[in-house]
Amino acid sequence: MSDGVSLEARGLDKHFGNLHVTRSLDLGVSTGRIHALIGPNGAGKTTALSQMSGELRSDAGTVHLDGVDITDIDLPGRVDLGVCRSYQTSSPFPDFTVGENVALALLAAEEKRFRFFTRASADTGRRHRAEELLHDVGLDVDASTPVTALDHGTTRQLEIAMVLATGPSILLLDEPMAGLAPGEVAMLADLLRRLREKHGILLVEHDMDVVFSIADEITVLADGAVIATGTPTEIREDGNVQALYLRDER
Amino acid sequence: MELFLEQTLNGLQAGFTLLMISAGLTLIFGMMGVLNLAHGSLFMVGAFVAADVGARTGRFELALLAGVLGAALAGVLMEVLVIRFLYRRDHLDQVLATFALVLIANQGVQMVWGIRPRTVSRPGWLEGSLTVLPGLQYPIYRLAIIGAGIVALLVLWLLIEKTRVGMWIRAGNTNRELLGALGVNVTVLYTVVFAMGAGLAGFAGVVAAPYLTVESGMGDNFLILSFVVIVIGGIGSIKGAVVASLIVGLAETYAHTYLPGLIGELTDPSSAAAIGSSLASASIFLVMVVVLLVRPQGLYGATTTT
Amino acid sequence: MSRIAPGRDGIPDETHVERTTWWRPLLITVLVLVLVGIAPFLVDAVGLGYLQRSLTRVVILGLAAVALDFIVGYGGLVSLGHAMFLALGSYTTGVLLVHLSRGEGLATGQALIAWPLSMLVGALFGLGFGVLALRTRGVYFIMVTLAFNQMMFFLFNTLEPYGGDDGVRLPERSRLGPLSLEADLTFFYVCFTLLVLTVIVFNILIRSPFGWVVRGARDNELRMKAIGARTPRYQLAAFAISASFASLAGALAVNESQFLSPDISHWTQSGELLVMIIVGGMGSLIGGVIGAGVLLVLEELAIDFTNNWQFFVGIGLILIVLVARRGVAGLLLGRHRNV
Repeated sequence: MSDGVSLEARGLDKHFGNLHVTRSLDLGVSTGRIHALIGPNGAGKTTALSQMSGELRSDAGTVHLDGVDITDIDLPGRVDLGVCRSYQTSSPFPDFTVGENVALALLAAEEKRFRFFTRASADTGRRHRAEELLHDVGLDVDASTPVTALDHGTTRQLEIAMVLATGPSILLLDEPMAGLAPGEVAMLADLLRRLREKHGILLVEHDMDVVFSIADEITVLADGAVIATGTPTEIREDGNVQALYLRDER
Repeated sequence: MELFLEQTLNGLQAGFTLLMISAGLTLIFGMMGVLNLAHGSLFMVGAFVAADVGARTGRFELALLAGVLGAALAGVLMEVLVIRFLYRRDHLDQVLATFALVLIANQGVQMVWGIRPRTVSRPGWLEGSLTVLPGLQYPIYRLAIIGAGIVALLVLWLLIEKTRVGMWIRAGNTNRELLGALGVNVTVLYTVVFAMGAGLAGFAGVVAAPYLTVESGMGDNFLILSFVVIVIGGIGSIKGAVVASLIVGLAETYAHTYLPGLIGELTDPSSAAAIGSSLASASIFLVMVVVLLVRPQGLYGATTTT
Repeated sequence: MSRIAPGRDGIPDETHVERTTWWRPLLITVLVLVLVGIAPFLVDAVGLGYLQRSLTRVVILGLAAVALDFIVGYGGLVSLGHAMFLALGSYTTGVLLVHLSRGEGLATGQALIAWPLSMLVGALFGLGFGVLALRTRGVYFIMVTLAFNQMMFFLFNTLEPYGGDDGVRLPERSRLGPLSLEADLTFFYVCFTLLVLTVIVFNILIRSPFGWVVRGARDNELRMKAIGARTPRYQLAAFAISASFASLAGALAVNESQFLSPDISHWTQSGELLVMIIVGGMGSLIGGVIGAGVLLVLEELAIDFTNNWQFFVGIGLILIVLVARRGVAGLLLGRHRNV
């Protein structure tokens, strides 16, 4: 997590059958910055995120991490390199407790060879690290709570803790605020501001107030293509963006 | 050359028989999302009913009709009593419940018809051979199976592409809620499609029966072969089922014809026969292995995007 | 991931999982094993001594079911091909015994060689078939494992030196070190010991870091990859381990029946192993033993009343799937899975 890690995508393209979902996207984010990706539903935001995280193979384009080409590296491989994504819908592992979920993320990321005969839950170092991470994201529930007992808001916090458990330098967050109450949104926004100090964050988000208040840079997508990119002030005054959002009021 | 042509025809006949089973299987999976292990049992039921009616009446046409209807009826029972409750269940539940149906059917035919194997005889008017090419005589009945396969395929294609029910089937492949919204009675539609698939499997059972022994469990191997077909062709794709059925039918026939000879040139003839027939049995699975390695979603399988 | 057809696999519907005390599954496991351990004397005491040989089969198939439950219940990979691993174990051990009886060189009746060798063969085939089958998931995985099962069935049927489809009788059982296994009770307790070890091994595995990743991949494989786990490797290893223990069960089974036959690789045997873990309670390990017990003992008792046992098994199974999905262990444990 040294300063100045950057993730850069150039010319990302993706087709699903006849559907051209992303069109020569250029996107980048680096430590200390929050880059928000906005646009109407179906603009290709999540697809772009999947291409940057290695989940989807691009039809064209490259992804570089600190100048190194990682285009052909898959999802777990990119996690090793410090790029980790979250998902729009919460998906903690229902069979495990809150603490175990974070511990699972810790061991999944660190595990380089199989360990068959140790008890996963007996590693106190990992357990404490998991509790620290829960505390860091402001989730102060008993680590032995079943995840199924968490409400939506705290589950979103848990998701962030799991992403952080992989030791990423770049976070790719897919609508982390979706479905949160206003108070929870403010809390999560604060968390993202704090995380920005040591991480680069690419943020897909629909809540415009949040986006304009925390983002350093905003890229607007429509029909898979970038129609504007710039600071929040520039975006607010951009004629194309205004037209787009007037057309597609949300 | 004659041998090759003859084996090609045999392969096509095997392929079309397989197609009549796997087309229904893949249609049902594509539409309803149910993996039905008991589809091979419908093939068996068709053969048993035909054997019974054939023995009573001595008329193949009646046997055929009864076999198809019997299988379709068994299919309706299956769907209404069991399968219907599995649409929203996971695959493991589907496997277990339909495996239970296999056990019931395999035992059931013995309870009804006894454990003695039965036979179905070819109809008199399809006896004999035809000179396909100078020097190549080929049984009319086998040609008729190929013909019936082509006709069944055409009917299925017309039904799916040109009729209203077919439109619903195609819509149901992608969106069952949409069908409900259109005012289609989805429950009845599913039962009807299931019965069609069952009838087709029963038809295959009757026409293939003269070359087989009609006995409990006779459908199992056909079921597994149609799974191979579906893995090769891509699940839910009729086109894939057609291509893969013919590949599997031809591959198996050629392998059984030529492999023992080829092996015989390498080793002594006595063990060659055994090794050859082992390899021939394995050949279609090797086709599947190649497809898994090169294109795991199957030749015509959709690459989904999640 | 992306290439699978509608993925609704593996996961039971229970949305809320009650946590009971940690010792309860352990207690059930110990109780069941103790019960199985004293069962030969119990059946004798109630005048059902003829069930003793069935009890050995319960232990052997229970062992295989525990191994299968590991990848089905904990790995979410529904294998309909585990009978081929049973058969691989049977043939490895059985072939050595056949050659021994023919007085040929490398053959051995020594279990300490034959049984580990059977496990090794099972593991290697498990790796080979696993690599291929794990190119797919969900419903494809089921079909592919079933297809491989059938392929092996055909191959075993053509092994003419070992009786082809008729199979071949084994004049004697393996010897375990200096210990003869010809006495049925001795053989029972050897199998029982191996069952206990197997249950312990898999209970350790599901709690290990390895097991956590396997279980995580069952619930959400993509998510597991997104936190850095190379899940296919874990699943492949899990599949091979499961196959290996199934082959151990096969090695025991051929000793039990003293008859080497391709029938053990018939696809319905694969189905019956799955039925056992469902009847007993999937994802509980010990459920496999319970299921094997319920099924085999009921079958033995039913023979007096009906020739159509399979018919009634089928009806019962449908009822279990549609109504009582959690199986016997599920009822005993009060919740779905133990951790």
